[in-house]
Amino acid sequence: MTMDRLGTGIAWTALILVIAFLLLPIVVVIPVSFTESTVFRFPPEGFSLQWYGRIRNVDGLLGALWLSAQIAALSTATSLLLGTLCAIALVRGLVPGAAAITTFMVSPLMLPGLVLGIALLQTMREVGLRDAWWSLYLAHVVITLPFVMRTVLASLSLFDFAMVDAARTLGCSYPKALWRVLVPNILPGFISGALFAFIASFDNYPVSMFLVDVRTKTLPIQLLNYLEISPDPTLAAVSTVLIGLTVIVLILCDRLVGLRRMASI
Amino acid sequence: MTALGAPAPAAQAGASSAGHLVVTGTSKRFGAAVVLEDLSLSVAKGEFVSLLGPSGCGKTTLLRCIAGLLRPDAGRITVAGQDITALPAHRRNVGVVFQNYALFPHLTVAENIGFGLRAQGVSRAEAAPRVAEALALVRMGEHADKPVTSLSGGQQQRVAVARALVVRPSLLLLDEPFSALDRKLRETMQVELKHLLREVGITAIFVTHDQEEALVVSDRIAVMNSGRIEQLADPATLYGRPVSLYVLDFVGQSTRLAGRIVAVEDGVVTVETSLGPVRAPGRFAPGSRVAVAVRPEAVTLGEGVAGANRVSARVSEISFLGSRTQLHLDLPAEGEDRGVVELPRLPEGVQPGSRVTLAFREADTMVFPA
Repeated sequence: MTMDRLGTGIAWTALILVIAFLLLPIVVVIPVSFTESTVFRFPPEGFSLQWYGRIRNVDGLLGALWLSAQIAALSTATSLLLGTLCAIALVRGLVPGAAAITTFMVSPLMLPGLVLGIALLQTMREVGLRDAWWSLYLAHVVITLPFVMRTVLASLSLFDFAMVDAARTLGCSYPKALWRVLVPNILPGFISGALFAFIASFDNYPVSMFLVDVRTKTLPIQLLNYLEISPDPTLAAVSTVLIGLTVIVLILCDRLVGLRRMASI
Repeated sequence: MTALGAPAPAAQAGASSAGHLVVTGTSKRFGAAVVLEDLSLSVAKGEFVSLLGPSGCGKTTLLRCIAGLLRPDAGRITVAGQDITALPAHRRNVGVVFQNYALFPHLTVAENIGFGLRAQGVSRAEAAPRVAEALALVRMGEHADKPVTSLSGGQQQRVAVARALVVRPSLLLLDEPFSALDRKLRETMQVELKHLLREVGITAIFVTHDQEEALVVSDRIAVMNSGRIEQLADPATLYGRPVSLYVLDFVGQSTRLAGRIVAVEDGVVTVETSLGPVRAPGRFAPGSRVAVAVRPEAVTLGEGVAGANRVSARVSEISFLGSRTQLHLDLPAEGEDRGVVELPRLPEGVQPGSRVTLAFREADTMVFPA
């Protein structure tokens, strides 16, 4: 009995320590962003919103935020469309060697970002694509596609394609049948795939590093640049904003399909 | 109900005496495998036809070709005189009840049934009474707002049928509609569905591998074998006069004995079998290898009528089936010989191991080339 209780106690302690280890560094950023001090220090001194105000004034920060949001949103949308169509072909066995292709399509997940970045840089040079925005967009489609593929493949494997046939015999053209029947049924996989993909693109450093130019910098690269020049709590303010946005998105997803359903994909 | 059953005006205008659904010379292959081979079929308006056969015989492929979910490699399909071979599925107005019903889990019962109407551009207000009518037709009115995932198998089938019927299709295709139900429920639903479809007056094609089900629901049955229709006939003809050993074996049971023609006279052949000579109506050359067969209920114990075939055999097993009793005969293990006899009541003294005399009329005996 006492042994049992002891075991439970140890398990709980371990759990709490792990959670603290995971969450504390993130949580500490929030109070630091409200400090009056000019250095990145915990506990914060006083209270001010000056660092939030500075986000607007720091050169290139808002621009980088806007660029990252653009690239992440567009590459995720592209991947959702391409990834879903690829996943349908693979799940339905419409192409020979579906298993091999599936492994290939999700392989960028297992490849170090550095390798992918150098390879993409080389490729873009070879084909003569010098524009940083388009390079970043194409590279981020490569980054985001595996995330979408993985979750959409998982939801599709549970989907009964007879439903699409049923919709067609009831008067829907094939694209309309996919939209009316397939999309609502794989929505949880769709949303969690999109979420992972967006985040993977938004905070990608190793691949983007090779493709940015002086005027076109994504947020992670801009933040690191800034940190090297002036390590003040502006970064904490930016992080807090991002944490806030993430929480809002998660709440929306929960309302929409339920986090439990998304986590199960 | 009448509104639901009324055929679309277009269907009426194009109706021809050739048959409501006419499939002509249709072939389909997947790679090297020929799934449908120059198949033709004509179904009259309001008729129920079953496509019966083992898996891989092409019955589901034929159904999908008719529905427009597959494009045949060759041949023509017309419904009410209109050539639909090149029409995509969504413009054919052919209703389908799928094997596992393929109900949409993200919609309620009423939304599932209204799906086709909405897809065809019927307004919500116009669709509502028609959905209600369809719900009433399948006696699911009180379940209208439930999610389909909460329904039992039988209820799901009713929703699938209502969903297919509410758009007033010119033809209803049912792909193994009872295979997802347990035996007891299946028997009830077969009769219920047959009655319902008859009331609506629709032409229906059932795909099934279950011969009992085909006998219950169909006006005519097409027995399919490797992409072709082996025999198309009403259930009684199919059972009583199968055209081949394949049909004989697929529909119902029988006593079947391999043998060789030893005498031919006046359209009656005598076949030497492992149980002795058996006479049957037929035309074969002396010496041909054949199989004679007789249905279980055509056999009596004892001397039978004058001129009947009589053979003697040992009973190996007795199965009591309630309304009748089945005797299995002890036959040489090699070859495809087997013996099944069904009697209304087991005579006294007959038990496993008993030697009995079996009598069956010459006219009830069938003979097939082996």
